[in-house]
Amino acid sequence: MKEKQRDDKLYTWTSLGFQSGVFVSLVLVTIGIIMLVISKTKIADAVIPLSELPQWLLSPDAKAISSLGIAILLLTPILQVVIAAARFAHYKDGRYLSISLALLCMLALSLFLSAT
Amino acid sequence: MELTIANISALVCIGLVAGLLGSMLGVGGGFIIVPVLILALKLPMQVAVGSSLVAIVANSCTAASAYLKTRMTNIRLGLLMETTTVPGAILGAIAATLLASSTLSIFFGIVLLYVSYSMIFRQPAMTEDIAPTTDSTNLDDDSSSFLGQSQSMYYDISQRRPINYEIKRVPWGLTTSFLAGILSSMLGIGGGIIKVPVMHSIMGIPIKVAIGTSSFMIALTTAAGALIYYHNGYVHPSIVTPLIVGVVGGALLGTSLAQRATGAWLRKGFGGLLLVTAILMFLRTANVM
Repeated sequence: MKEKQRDDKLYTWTSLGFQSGVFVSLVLVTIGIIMLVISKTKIADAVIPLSELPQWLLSPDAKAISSLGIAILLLTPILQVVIAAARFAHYKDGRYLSISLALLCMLALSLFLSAT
Repeated sequence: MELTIANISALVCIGLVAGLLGSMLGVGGGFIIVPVLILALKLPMQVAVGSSLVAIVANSCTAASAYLKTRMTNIRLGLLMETTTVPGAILGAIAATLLASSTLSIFFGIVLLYVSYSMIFRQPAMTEDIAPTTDSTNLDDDSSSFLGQSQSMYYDISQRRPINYEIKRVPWGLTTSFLAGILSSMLGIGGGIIKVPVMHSIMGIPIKVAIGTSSFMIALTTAAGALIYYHNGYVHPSIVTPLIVGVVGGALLGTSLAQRATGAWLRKGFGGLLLVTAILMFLRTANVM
């Protein structure tokens, strides 16, 4: 019974995490679309790199808001693994804590290898 | 080209169709987005793929969120299988630079044809037809203890009852998942095309759970790939933002339909998708596309 309650919390938190990430991203990209149309942006404009994003957000424009929405969306699934790892640590579930951490390391490695 | 209301509407519609089909069948939907962006909008390949990856993340996140509520996504199984898919994908990406993929494409196309035939015409291996049970003792097999779960369950909205299921042959599933990672990287295909049949046919998981878990896994692997495209400047907000809006709308509709559809209908739909993918692979290998 206790295991079921723990699982219910894990599923609820993860579902809420995905939902919140998509919702925030959707709001930002919708605002971004409206601003992009008003500012008559060309289709070929690329996103703002993650490292430069905080600087751009000090004086937000269509591109900065859209880029933030896209970045939040892309980080949402990875954040869910972090949340799952935190829940497994809280439940002292060593097996799945190790699996989650190993997965995060692999994702980091694949990002590093691809970027270099 | 300037961003106009007509362009935005077209991109939202493309996203809507990709989100609807992708979320219903547990695949990304890139097989719709990439060709349309290249052929209709004349975008460079990298930009089309980068935009498609972001849209797939939006699709998978929306689908996973909905499927988690009814436990159609098995988080533990998804995390476990990802630990072999990701190294497979890394190895596949390295191998892709060393090997010609045409022979592999033909071989894989034949495998897809066979799996497609099995899914459309043969009886299911198991499991959504199993009577519900509250007794978990009969579910404690080796694979369940390997997963650290005494039982797995999801709520089937179409049957209006919880369904218990056993996860079988986990080591086989992990091995195949590793191969799926290699193939998806080498052939540039979405992982769902391989993962859903593996989970359903080899591991004996109900088709709905296979679709839900696949969505969760796709969200993870695709996000990592999409971040690289983002980092390299191949993601264009003016293209991606309308796609996201369309995809999220389509995925909300698709997940609702998938939860209400019967397992048999979803199996046939997925079989049809595999058939189309196999034909496209043969055509691409023959340089027709």
